[in-house]
Amino acid sequence: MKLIITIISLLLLFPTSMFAQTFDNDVKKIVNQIVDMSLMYGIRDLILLEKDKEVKESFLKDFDQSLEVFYKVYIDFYSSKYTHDEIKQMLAFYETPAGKKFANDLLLLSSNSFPKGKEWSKKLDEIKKKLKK
Amino acid sequence: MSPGNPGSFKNFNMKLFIFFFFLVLNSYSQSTKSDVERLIEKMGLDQHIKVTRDVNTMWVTPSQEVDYLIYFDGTIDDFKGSVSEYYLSNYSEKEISEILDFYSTPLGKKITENTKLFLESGLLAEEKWDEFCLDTVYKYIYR
Repeated sequence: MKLIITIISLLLLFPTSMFAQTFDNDVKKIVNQIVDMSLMYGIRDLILLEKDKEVKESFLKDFDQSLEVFYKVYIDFYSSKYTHDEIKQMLAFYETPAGKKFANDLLLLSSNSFPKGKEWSKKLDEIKKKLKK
Repeated sequence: MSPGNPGSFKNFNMKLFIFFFFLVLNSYSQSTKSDVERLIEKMGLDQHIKVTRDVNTMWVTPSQEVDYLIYFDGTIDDFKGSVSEYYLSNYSEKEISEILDFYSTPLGKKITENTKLFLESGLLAEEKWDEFCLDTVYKYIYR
């Protein structure tokens, strides 16, 4: 009897965890499209230069862990606000030519690399310097 | 224009045609401009500006905060205008229309409503990653 209950529990648990993983993966796909992570990968590549194999492996393990921490914040946000179906609809939109272009500009906007955003940031920095004088 | 002169009548018709052509063209560009303004509103640019305002204010001393915010608020209209120009120059009417169609769906409206929370999540995610940088990256720099 105990064995049957255990097997049934495992059978119920396994697809649930699979669905959760799929949701998380889909959220990561959205994050990769609209959030600028180039600085993180730039730091990673810089650290990996001229390091021996053992150090590289250890660093990459820590780095991947840090990415999971980063993604988790977004996964928590999306899971609290959107269904998996809505996430898939977002992904479908971002796959269209107009959606892709728009997502790229959102990414630039989020990282202050948007062409007009950079000029604005520069202006704001000049204001800060002016106030300090 | 004299009624007996077919050349001047043809000339007048041409000028009338050109006038109406530019009138129609102007009305199309006005509708695209208003579409872009709607797009900017739906993509949550106002919320992006608010979050930027809050973050930037953290880096200013309390004594300078009032002056800084006066200057900051003075830049907003120019920034929004330049973003609007960017979309007008880099997106076709069709692309703007497709994006607006998406934002008009129940999901699109939800995304607009949640923009501020999304941006705040982004700040939290960066903060957590910065902690990693401090704890771990420096350890590897010197290894």
